[in-house]
Amino acid sequence: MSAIGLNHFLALGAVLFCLGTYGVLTRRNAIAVLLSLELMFNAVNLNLVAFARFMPNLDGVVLAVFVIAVAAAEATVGVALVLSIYRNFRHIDLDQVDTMKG
Amino acid sequence: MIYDPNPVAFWLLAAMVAGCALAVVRARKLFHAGLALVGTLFAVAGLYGLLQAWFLAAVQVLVYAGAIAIMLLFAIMLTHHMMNPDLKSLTTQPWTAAALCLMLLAVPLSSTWQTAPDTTLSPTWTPKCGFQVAEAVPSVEALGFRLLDPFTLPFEMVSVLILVSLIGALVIARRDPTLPEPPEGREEKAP
Amino acid sequence: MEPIFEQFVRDLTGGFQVPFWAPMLVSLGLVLAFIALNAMFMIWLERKICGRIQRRMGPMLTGPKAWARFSMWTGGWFQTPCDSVKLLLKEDIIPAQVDRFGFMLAPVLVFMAALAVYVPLPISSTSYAQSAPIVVAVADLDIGLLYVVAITTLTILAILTAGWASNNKYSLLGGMRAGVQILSYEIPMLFALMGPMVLAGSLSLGDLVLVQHAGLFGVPLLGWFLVPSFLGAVVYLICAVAETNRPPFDMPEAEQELVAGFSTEYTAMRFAMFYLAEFSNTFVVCMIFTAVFLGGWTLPGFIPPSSLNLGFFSLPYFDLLAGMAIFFAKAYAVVLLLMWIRWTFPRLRPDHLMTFGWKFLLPLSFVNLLVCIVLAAIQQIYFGGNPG
Repeated sequence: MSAIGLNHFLALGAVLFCLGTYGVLTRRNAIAVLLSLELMFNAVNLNLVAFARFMPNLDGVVLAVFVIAVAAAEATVGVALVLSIYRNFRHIDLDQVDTMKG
Repeated sequence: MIYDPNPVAFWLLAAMVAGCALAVVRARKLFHAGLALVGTLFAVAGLYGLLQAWFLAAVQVLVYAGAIAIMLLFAIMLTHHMMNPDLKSLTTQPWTAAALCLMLLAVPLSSTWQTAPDTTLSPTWTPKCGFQVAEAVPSVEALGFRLLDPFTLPFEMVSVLILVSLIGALVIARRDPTLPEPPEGREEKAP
Repeated sequence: MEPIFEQFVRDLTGGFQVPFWAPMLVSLGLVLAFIALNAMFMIWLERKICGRIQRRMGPMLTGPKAWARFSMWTGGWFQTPCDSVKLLLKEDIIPAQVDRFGFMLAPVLVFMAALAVYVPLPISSTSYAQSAPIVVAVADLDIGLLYVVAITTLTILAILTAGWASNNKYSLLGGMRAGVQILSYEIPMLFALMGPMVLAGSLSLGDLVLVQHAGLFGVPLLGWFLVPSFLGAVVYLICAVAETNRPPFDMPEAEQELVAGFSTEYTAMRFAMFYLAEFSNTFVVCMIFTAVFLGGWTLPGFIPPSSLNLGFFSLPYFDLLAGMAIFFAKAYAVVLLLMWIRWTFPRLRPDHLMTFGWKFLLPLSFVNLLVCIVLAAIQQIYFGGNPG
């Protein structure tokens, strides 16, 4: 590969997104799910910035800043929820947090 | 100056991103997964630098790696017994999930590889610019102007959103002093 | 740094073109050498100042006999090399139950942070054999100020990892306290630095110094951002002391309470990494303070000539050397101030520390930002804009 183009960045973003999805689907620990979620956010950001660079348009970078801010807000509330679950169940295994089932 | 990203830099950073992301989803110890996430975030910041969005790279390190990831590490420390023996299985239905994710991956990959890489698309971007900023220069000044002019409402809304999430997190995570403590001794149930 | 280095080599060797990786390696070597030598000097200085403030002599007995005549002020300078050799020769113990990966990673991370933060710091500028004055830094980044604050995240990560991996309640407590402390004081620090950024119109540290040289409202003497952004300078200094875990903010390393905090389980070279990084960070925050608030390598109204004519011989790069001398003199003055603070005040309790940071320093930094914005607006409207 001699020249790096837009496709390379988009492919990397896709790989990162799929790894994140795999993590969200399989991991049992709630915080591991949050970590994988952050991977998905980063994949989206990478796509945005790559498009912004190659179009060129600055709006992609601006949107990426907003995505980072929203991810911060979401991670905060996610961690608060996990702490609350831990306090009530004494563990954060998502397979066993199922008191509403059935 | 045509935009010509260094291939060595790109492949090194891509390898670091992929490797650390794999460690995040597959690490046996949760703290290692947290550290791997920080590694991924730094590598992605490096990619933003490669894409000449330097301000975004600094913000990524400052906010994502330096605040969000650290907060997740604190959460790990608060909810995990130290040196806990690992659960017998960390994951549920890993093979099904892997198959699904590979199918998901095939969609964007097939569309990006249909077209040949077009590196002649991008005109020049110069890092430093004067006061009259051109439209597509990713300097801090240009970003500031964009945030204030077309993107005023999202900018203000995001600040309100962060305030709301801050208050919400405080309320959710606060221990209610009127309720009794949950009984001690219910450890993680290893299957 | 690259144009200066290439020009220097070309002058010396008559036209040799350096490969692209040579300036990076040379910068790395210089920074590493500087960190080591500076740490030795600063540790000796710390002990001397500590001794003098506590009405005693400080280290006196090491060093050659001929030095004894001046030993009251300069004695014991050989103490630090002896201590370093002792530290290097100690046995490297890794306790059995630690998380080996994290345990070994933490000193590496903290030293990476200590090294990486030297990149945008400007120590001088030169116009010898260049078409325009060039700022001497490893790389004068456009986002220098933001980069410097972003590197503190690596330090937080290293301390948290050290605390967690040590498998020790004291270490964990020390690590979490240190992490929270550095995180909390990063925010007022950032806002305190925003004041000068607004006044100069740029995040680059070299630009900040040049704007200070140009002066405020056309008066060079008022140029140093210490004057318009005085609150910010005070807030930054306090936050800098907190960021580097120095007393009175050294609760994470409180010797009487937490053994040695997050570095309890570390011995020999690994401990030396933490220790070295702490002293390096102390000097770096003093360097940043000098560059941002004290005018960096410039004196108001004084521009050194690029080569000094000594009659029979003309000394090249004179403005570079003069700038460096001025810069380091100012930086070490700030270091002396920090050491004075350290040995004067008692330690802050954790809840006092948090209250002080969030409820006092943060609003102060907002007030400072407001004042700086007003001053920058006046400068823009009535005095023809900042030169940045």
